[in-house]
Amino acid sequence: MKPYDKNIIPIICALAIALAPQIPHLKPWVVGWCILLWSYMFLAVRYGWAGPGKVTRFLLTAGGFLGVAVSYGKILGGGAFIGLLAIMAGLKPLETKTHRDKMIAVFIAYFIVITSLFESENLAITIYMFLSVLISTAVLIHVNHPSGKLKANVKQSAKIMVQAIPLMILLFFLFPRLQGSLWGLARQKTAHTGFTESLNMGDISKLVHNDKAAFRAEFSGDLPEPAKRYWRGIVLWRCEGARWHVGIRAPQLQHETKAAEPYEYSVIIEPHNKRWLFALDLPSNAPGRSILLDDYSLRLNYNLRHKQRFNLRSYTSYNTGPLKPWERTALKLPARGNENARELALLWALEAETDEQIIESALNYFKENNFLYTLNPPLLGSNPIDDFLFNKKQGYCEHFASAFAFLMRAAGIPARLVGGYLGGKPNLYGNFISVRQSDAHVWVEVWLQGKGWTRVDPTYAVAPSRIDQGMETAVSADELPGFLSSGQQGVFSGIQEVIRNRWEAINAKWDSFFIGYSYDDQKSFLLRFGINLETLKGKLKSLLAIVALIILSGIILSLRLFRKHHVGRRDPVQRFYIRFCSKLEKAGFPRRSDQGPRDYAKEIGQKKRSLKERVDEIIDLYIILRYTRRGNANYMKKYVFLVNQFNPRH
Amino acid sequence: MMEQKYEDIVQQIGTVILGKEKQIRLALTCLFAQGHLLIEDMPGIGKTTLAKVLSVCLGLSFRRIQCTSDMLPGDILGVSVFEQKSGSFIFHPGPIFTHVLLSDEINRATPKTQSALLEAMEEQQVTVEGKTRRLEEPFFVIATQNPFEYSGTFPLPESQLDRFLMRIEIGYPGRQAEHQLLKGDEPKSLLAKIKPCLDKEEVLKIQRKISGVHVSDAMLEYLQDILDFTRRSPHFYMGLSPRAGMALLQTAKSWSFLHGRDYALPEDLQQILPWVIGHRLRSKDDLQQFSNEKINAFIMEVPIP
Repeated sequence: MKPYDKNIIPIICALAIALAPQIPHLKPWVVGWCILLWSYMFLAVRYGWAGPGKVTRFLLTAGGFLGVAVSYGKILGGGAFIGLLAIMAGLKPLETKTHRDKMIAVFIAYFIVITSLFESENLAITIYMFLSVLISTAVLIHVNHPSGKLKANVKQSAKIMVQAIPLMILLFFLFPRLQGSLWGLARQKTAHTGFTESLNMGDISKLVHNDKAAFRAEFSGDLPEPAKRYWRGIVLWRCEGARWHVGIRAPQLQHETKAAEPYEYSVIIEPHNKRWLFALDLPSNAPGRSILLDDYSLRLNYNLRHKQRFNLRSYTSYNTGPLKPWERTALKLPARGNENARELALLWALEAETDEQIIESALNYFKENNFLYTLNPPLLGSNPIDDFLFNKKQGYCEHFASAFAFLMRAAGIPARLVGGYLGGKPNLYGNFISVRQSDAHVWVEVWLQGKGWTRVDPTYAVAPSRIDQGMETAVSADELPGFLSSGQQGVFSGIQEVIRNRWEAINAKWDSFFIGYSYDDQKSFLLRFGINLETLKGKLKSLLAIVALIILSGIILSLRLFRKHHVGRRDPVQRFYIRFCSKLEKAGFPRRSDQGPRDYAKEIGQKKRSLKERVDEIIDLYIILRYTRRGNANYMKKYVFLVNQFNPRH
Repeated sequence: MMEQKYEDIVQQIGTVILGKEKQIRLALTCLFAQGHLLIEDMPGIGKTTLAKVLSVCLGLSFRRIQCTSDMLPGDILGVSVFEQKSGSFIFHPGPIFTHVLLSDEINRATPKTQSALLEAMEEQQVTVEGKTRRLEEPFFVIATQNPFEYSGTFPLPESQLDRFLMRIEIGYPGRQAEHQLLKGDEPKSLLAKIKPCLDKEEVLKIQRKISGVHVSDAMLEYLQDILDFTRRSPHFYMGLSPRAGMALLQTAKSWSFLHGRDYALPEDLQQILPWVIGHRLRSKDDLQQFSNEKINAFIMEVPIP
């Protein structure tokens, strides 16, 4: 076997650069795999090793694929897909000997670049992807013109990318947007939110350790004041003691609520692969393909697997009106368990004259009995509510909320849990609030005569600063996860804050322009050119336009290519020579494009003696026919006969 | 018949210039292609010996000039001197009136002298005091220059470099060849043993025959693709001129003829290419000339049609 070509090194660099942003998402063994194989390649090129044989390569390939299948579980997920690509990226240089192999290796790099979109669409990744493409294209140029200098290649690559900008813009506006998710499959594993259809005590406090962004709300006017920043997500109806479930599916809201001072804003939600949206308490419209349920939660028609923008309107003061018959389920409790809590609630109910007084008693109970708001609540016993209320007295928002709701129901007041987020960081440069997973929160809504459903946040009774000033002040400093504690002091943390805010603001602009450009925007854009995507005719028209564009560019390209190879094709001598060469190539003796007939014949003669005579005869005839004056019909006849008959395997 | 004679010449010259067969073949190719040769190398590498032995072998007359900055065109071309006996000016031909002229360290001559020499090379004639005199054919200039020393030199401009058909380097001899060189007789005595293999008439005949070497359209396509490549590629400051194209054609013909063929193959072109275009191309980045390896790598990118 031939030793490796040193031009493999730039290809490996392109692969590594393309793969770099994926490293956190890859299994460690896959990263190790790539590093190991690539280092081997560096050494092989350096010392001229010939590389492993077919069997070893086959075993490596099979092993790598098997490893992915085993470690990723299902083969179809996005993580597994990227894993497979990484495995191939590690292996491909190993068998890269011909020009074709090099081209394939570079195209694997392009594929890997695209997979960055599986993880994120933010500005930094996008910029990095452009850089990656720039380098991959420069390497592609290098593979085809190995004599060029790096600088010239990068320049040429940049030139090609600049030339592609009009096409990019065209595709941006015309390429049909897929609603929901283009990369849905890939997202399944990475997309997440703290909320599931049910809530266990302790679920939310775990989320505090998650610094990932949840969503961002961009306001056209003033931001709502901190105490009003309740972001409503799901409503939990069914109580099973320590566990709460969504329970029933609320019907669609029939009458739109109206109140004073609406907030108009848009929410850009990170994919969480669930169907609910988060909106400022209380939303009044259903954006896009979502519906507003009777419990004022917003539900999408599809799982949110793609960062998406929703335009919303909310009222922070409202009255939901009388209790509907189906809402009586908000009084149901499990048949047994937590008897002490029930007793306490009944006691309050007996003493009180109004429902408000019962609520007051419950909140006072929290305030006066040394309850502790903590991120590390202790485990609770078999009657968790009792255990929490009378023994442990330590908990996070979900403990307070679920205990409170339990007490309310026991006292005969309809109550439900609402899961969502509280607070968020306002960004001065962009007039938006960014909300992180660590802002997750649960509160209670009770139904009161004349007021409708009213928000009561029992956490406020214990840790009022959680609502006013956020998490940082509400729990003791040594409990806070690293990213929330103010470890750095002074100038640097200030500067860091400014940079972070600026960067988030730039990202927000990017999102609202590119991510926000949706099917609807596309529709109205095309409408200006008389194409209505809603009608079948319009759809056909846009399809036709795209097909026409593709065909047109295809024709132009092939015409240019044809003109270039025109001379060679027309000449029958050359045509048969190409056939002869391809026969030899299949037998393992490819001709370099710059290799003259004599050199080629000589090379084959050296490599395989048994072919020498026949190859020499054909090449001699070819030279006579193509390069001398002596060519005639007899030579041609013989030449054609020999080429047709030629079989390098015999 | 020609091939045998050619091998004889190469072999004979090889007894004096040891281990430099490729350079000998290139020099002969250049000469038979009616072109002039530029040898770039340091002193003492055997440039003069090569020129001398070439001329002896081919049965041609040989003259040598050492270029200096105070040299005048008349020193090369010749001057008319008043003779009292006859009462008229008599032309005393300069060293240029020969078959093989070795012009040592050409970049030490002033541009004026350089251009006088180069005119003679191009036109095969000299004009002295208004009278044009033809130079006897064949006329072949071997110029040398030292690429490592620059002080006090006048580097040949691009346009004048273009007039040299080929530029070669000789380089150090291999260890074995040098051993033989040190052990064997002095080059001078070796030179004396050389016998002419051809004469002037035969050289001219071969030159004429080379012009008749067949170059097919396919070959011309390939040549044009190479020219095109140098003009389109971003690596070069300037592409090859049509004159360079003709130089390539002529050299390829000569090379194939000397290898016993009356038609040119792509391989012939590839063999001589670096020596013909090396001094005609410059890098776009730093305006320096390319190494032969680099040029070969460039040419590998041009497919044979």
